[in-house]
Amino acid sequence: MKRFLSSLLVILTIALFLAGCGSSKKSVSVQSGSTDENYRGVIYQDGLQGPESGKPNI
Amino acid sequence: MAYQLSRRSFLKGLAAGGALTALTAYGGLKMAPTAAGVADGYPEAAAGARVFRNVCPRNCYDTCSMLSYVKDGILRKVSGDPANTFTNGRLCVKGYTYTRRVYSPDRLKYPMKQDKRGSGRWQRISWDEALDIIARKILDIKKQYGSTLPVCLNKYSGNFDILHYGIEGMMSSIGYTTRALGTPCWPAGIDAQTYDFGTLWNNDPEDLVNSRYIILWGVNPAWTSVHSMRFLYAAREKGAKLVVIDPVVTQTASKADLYLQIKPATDGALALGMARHILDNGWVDQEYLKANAVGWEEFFAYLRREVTLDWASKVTGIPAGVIADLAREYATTKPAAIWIGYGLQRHTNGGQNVRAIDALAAITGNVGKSGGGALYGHLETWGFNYAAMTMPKPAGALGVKKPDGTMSDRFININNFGAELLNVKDPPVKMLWIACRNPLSQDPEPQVVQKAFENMDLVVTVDHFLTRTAAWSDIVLPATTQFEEYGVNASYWHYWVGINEQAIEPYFEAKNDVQIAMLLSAKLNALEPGSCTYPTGGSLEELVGKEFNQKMLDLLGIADYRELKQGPRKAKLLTAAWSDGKFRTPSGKIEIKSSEAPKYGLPALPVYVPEKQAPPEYPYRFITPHWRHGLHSQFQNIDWMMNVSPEPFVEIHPATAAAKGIRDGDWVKIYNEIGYLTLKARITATTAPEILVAYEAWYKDLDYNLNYTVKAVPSDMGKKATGNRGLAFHDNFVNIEKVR
Repeated sequence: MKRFLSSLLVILTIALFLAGCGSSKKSVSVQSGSTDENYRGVIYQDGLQGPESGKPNI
Repeated sequence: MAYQLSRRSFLKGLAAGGALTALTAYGGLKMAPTAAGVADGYPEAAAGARVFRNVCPRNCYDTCSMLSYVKDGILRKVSGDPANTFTNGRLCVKGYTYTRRVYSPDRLKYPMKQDKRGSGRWQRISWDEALDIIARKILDIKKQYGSTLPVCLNKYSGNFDILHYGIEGMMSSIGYTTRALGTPCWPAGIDAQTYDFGTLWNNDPEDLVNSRYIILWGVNPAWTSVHSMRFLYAAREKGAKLVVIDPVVTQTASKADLYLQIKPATDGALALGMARHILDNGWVDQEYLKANAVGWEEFFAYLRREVTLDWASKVTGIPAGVIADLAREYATTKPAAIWIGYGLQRHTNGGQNVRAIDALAAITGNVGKSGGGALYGHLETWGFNYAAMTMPKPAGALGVKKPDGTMSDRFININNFGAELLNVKDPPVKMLWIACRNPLSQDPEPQVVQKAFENMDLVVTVDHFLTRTAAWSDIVLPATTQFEEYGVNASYWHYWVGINEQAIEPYFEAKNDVQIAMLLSAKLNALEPGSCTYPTGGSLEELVGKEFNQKMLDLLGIADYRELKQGPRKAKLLTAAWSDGKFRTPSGKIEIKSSEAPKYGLPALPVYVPEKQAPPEYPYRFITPHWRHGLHSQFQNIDWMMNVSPEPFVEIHPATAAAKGIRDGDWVKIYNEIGYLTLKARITATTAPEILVAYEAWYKDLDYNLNYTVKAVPSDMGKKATGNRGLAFHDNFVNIEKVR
């Protein structure tokens, strides 16, 4: 009985693993993200002054 | 049951409404009945519903005047307000979803605190607790850094109601702070028109009906200004020709008499090629130029020296003969209008391209004429007091020292928010307040913005929904919709101004930005008397009254703002912008040769500045326009929109798809050196082989953010009028591969 249960467990594990492999192939979904984890942007200098406080962003 | 609208009936209505709009706009310019007649005519009014006047405050050309129908305290239905002859009793597909937005199960009901930023472990807290956390952090920062400069506000266009600028007033009232300054949308074009005419000012769009020739240049009103379509169709019924110039075959293009598929960012070359042909054939309006413009002789010398039809054809991809025909028709069919879209200025040469189009309108004498104009937008009806945002600093406040010894707030670029936040020092920014914005969805380089968030001690977001930005905040505060608050709105396109009445009680514990400012002021002053100058009492309607000055009242022909409760008013502006000839440039004339542009490092003449080219490793230009069922990151999350538009897609030309082995419906990956996007392919010949198109939107349950690929590269103009250059959103280059 114990042996049977062990075998069943092994088969079940393999089955779950294979199912997992299959589902990962199916699980392509809408995704977005970074391709360079170190990217921190660029500061674009223009050296020109903008308007003073009190001007609404329109 | 009488007020319920099923999904099926909504979809029917959607189809019917779309058909009406797209086909004939219900019979030319037949006006709808008066407001009172419509209100009486609706079964809701007969059944005892109260009717309120509202305005859609979203960042949109049309700024619709609305009527809301309320019974038993519930918003039952919304419609357009026929008192406004521009919106004429109709809303767009997005506007009709407002009842679903107001009562969406996803709306934020209470203030909430997140256990760890991004963990999703939210806990409901009281307003008092939320404000206590925020107030103590502000006071701690002031104590630690000696000023409130480490507190940063990022507020923009999620709600353009004038009272919402009150959140800027709240920041002023606590001291000098750091502000995200600028506008991502249209600054290059604003500066271009400022250099040329002194400011931006379009003809009344209802005047388009008087045009005999209309060029829709990089604009897609069938999606983004559906009410304008009525006037375009009406003009065509009277004999006008409609021309659409766009890199993409839009829905508007499908309705045009002539469509020209131009290479992106080459619009200036087309305008200059046309101008050269007009010059060569003697179609220039010399009398108009002599009376109203300066610098045209040098412009003509440049055209003769540098520009030919063949050159323009090579740059734009449009045959020389077609350019010649277009130039002839435009110059000889008067009046002729050009509507300049915002997409074409989202390039590194975008402002310069707008200037070339402005010059085209000027040399043909089409500026200042009914039915003519170089229409871009206007701010002529925005001359409010901005009373809610104009607050004194508390005593002893310290800010950035200016050369004259006075203090100012510290400004960082709203269009490079992430990188600037990461780099700002002495003192660093430690607390963020986000209002009317969703930067983690809409900003370029959201991965950089997110890194900057990691440096914050506290991030507070005020919103209707748990947006991508709200989800990465420490505290979210629920905001009211326009139906739950008082306010006042103007358009940057049409000439109407209206007040927004509170129609229903706030949803659960939602509050308006100004009310939040008042509560925070009370809390700050309780903890440290004198630390905040924002008023702690007063109604929103009182504040609306304070927004009106005599000039605004005169402009609207009213003696008191309360008259707007009877309906929106159309500003008494000249129908044809600049028809008085009083240009606001330094010379008082159209400055084809600008005296101001060189001060900003720009050419004085509207010469052609070459478009940005794709690098070999990323050969496709990735264009990301507005979406039909959304407005930036708004509306697409509403259930009705999810029903009609469940998932995003990228449009790929058949030739490109064939070259890459991609079929319709395949999963593809779009990528460049900073980001990627995986989504489904839609094969269509509406785009060009070198262009990929996906539409900006926030899908609440999808990891969709095309801005991961978009670098914060600035456009050429915007500094003069808006404080910072715009964004070259459409100079974004990627590669594409099939995933599965």
